[in-house]
Amino acid sequence: MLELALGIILGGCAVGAGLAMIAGVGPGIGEGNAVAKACEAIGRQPECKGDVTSTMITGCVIAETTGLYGLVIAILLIFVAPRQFVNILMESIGK
Amino acid sequence: MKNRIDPTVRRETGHVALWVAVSILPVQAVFLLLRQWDYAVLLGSLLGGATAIFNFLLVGLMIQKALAQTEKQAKNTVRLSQGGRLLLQGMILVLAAVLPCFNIWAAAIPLLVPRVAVSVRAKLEAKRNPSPDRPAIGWEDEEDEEEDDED
Repeated sequence: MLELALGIILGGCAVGAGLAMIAGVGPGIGEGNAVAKACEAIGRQPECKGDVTSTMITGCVIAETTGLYGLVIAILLIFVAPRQFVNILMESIGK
Repeated sequence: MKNRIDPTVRRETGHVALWVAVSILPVQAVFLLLRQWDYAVLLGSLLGGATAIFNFLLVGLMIQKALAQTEKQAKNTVRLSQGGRLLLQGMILVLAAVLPCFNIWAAAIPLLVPRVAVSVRAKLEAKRNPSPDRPAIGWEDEEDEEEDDED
């Protein structure tokens, strides 16, 4: 029974980490589209390059944070959470 | 030099580096208050901070490169770069989690600082120098009013 509980904990953490990493896909697509449009804008008005670069850096950093949240949660789920959950389980069954 | 860093990228990176350096102090203070501070927290913060600054610099360089390309090339460059940078940050976090000389929480927090820095700076600049361009809704309203006056 204990093995089953440990397996569920570890499996749940692994599945959760995988699901959290889905968040890493979106920012890449979004940033790609944004930068493509910025290229178009600079093509039309080359004198705006400095402003567009500055705005793009701001936008990309903000967009990328979503993926970073997912990454941090995935890493914590793999490396930190199982130990905590197993400790809680062991304490609850008195081992 | 062929690949010179754009002054905008340099300026923004310097600003974010300052923010990251300042943000490390409250992290240390919180760990001190919780009585959980040790050298691993400091090393973790330094590792996370250096990664955050390096990542921001890479974002700037990627944009600088992408803006000189065609739309399709720019899309591919950005996607590739984003994947690579995410992988790099993941490896750094794994390193911080596996090695006992780093604290994972202290390493993870500075990675999120550039977003805060950029948002706060944008808000401060908007307050300091209100843009002469009005939002689209305002323009529409004014145009409507003008049309009404003409009628």
